[in-house]
Amino acid sequence: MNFRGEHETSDDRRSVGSSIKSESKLGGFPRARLAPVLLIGAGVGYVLVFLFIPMVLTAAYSLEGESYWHIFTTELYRIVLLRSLRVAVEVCVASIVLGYPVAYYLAKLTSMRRETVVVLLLFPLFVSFLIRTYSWFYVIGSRGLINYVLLSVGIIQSPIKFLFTEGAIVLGLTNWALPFMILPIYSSVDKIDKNLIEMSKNLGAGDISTFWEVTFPLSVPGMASGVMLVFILSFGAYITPAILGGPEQAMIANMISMLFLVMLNWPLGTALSVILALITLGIVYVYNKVVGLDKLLEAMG
Amino acid sequence: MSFVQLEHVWKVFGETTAVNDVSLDVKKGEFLSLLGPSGCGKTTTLRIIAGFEHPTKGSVFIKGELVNDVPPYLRNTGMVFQNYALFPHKTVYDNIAFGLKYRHFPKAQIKDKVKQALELVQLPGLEARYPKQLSGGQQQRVALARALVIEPDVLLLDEPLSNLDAKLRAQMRIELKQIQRRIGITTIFVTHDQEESMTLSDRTVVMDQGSIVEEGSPFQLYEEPKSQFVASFIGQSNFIDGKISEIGERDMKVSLSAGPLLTVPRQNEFRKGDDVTAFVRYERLEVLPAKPDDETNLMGGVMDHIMFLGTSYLYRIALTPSLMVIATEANTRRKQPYEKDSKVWIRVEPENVGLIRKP
Repeated sequence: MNFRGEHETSDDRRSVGSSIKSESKLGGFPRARLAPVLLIGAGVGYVLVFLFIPMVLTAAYSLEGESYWHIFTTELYRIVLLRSLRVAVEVCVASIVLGYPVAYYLAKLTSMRRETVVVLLLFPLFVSFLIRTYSWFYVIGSRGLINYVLLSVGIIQSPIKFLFTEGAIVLGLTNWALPFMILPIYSSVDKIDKNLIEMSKNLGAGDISTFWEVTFPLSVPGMASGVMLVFILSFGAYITPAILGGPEQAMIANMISMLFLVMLNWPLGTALSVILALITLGIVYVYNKVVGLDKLLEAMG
Repeated sequence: MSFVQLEHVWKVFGETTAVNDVSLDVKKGEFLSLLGPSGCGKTTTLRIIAGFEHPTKGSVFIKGELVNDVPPYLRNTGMVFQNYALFPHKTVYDNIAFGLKYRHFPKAQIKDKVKQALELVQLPGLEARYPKQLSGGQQQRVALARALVIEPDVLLLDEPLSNLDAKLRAQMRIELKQIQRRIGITTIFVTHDQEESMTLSDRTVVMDQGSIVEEGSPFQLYEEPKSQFVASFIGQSNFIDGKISEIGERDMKVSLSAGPLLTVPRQNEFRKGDDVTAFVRYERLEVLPAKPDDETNLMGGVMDHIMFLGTSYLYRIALTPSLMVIATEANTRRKQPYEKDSKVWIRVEPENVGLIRKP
């Protein structure tokens, strides 16, 4: 066996995990080179046929006419785009403010109680999304719980309009996205070496100072993961703005749907889809540059 | 006067008693080590002094002041953890300056003090680095500088050398001792490494299962251990049970359960008939190729196993088929090595036999 053969053997062992000693080749490929192709082939093929090719077609369609020019010069689309970005940012801020304390508390729990709390956290995700979204009607509708209480106490004379506002969308999306913020933050807080906390106190920092000096900065990567997930989920949200926002509070996904299904304007619909995809990819790109996508896997694992 | 004092301190975690009635007096400037196997309570004791754990019972005094209810950030102790616990998101400068900042030193003074601290641990000019950019030994020095720069009343070291490789560990040991001497700081050092505690400390406290077993200078603990635990934990010894069978004017005889009689110098604390365990350090057991004239404490045996250790040989010798003893001999290259299964003689000077009263 020549040196190159030796080298390949050790490589193969690492990638396939079996000790293939022979240099047997299949159509010019060492057999071990084929194994990864077989393993991931089905998945890659699926993505290629049902996701990648349609996306290329979408992008091609979007170049027809002057759709991009039209989108950037029409006020309606600018409003919708800005609203989508604004809602996504607001949901991120709300999720951090509500989620950070929960994540911090979770990380301080003993492991048995922690499991219970995690199940409770994830429980809303098991309930049908539509039911969860519609149930907000009972809380914030014009005859919902809040208005009912305010009216009967006499603080207001006529119901306040909560439903079909941007606020309602933020409320609904935050409710849905919260676990995606809490879990990565929890994971990063939990990973902080307890010795660092004790060291900080040993050096003279109290509990609050220790939080801002040690815990908070070391949980920023988790927070970044959460922000990325929540931003992407909110920015492209469809059902929540459709139900809680109504037509006058449409977000980008609702607009796309309308262009495709109601106005049958495919060039515009595809152009808006491409913009949505590019902004999403841009966020992932920035996240990967600053934090690293591998951190996301760590946070979710 | 004791500088750090523990009075009947207990620490109970649920069902387990981590610290069992520990009393300790540490003098100013003393280097004291807490030595014991893992889980013996030494680290918990240190954490109680640092204030990370509240004692279940008992009192802790630092400089004569009761500190039971003083939180860690108000106790002036310097700590070095085994994993150094450097703040990964802060530079070396900010790590060392951390304690000074919370002691409200002016900026210019902090800068000077950090510089001096880095010089003390021989790492000048590394202020701007992050911990990740440092080697293990450098991280260790930064951790030490960070603990010392606040001029703590007492320096608490939790196995600080255990993560270093053997060579660096030996070097840091010397350096640590020199720094400690130079600034004369009271130091409590936790370790499971008997050699480390011997070379560093003025006094060693041996702990086992939450309690103090024995304390003394390294010399005392090695030469006159009072318990089998200490005799086996510090150094390496052969142990054989026996009974005091005869007390003479200057000597007494111990009849070993294995048969032979041992002559040892007379010790007044033992009476005839006392049950004892005799122990002989590996290096004090002489191995002879031929029968000598002096037959005191002489026994014949068969070479069962030979291990070459470089600086020395380790022999396992069968006195009877079921009774083995171990002896080490310096490798002086003077004589023919022994062969396995050859007949040998072993002898021990009477004063080199240690006796421990059986409980």
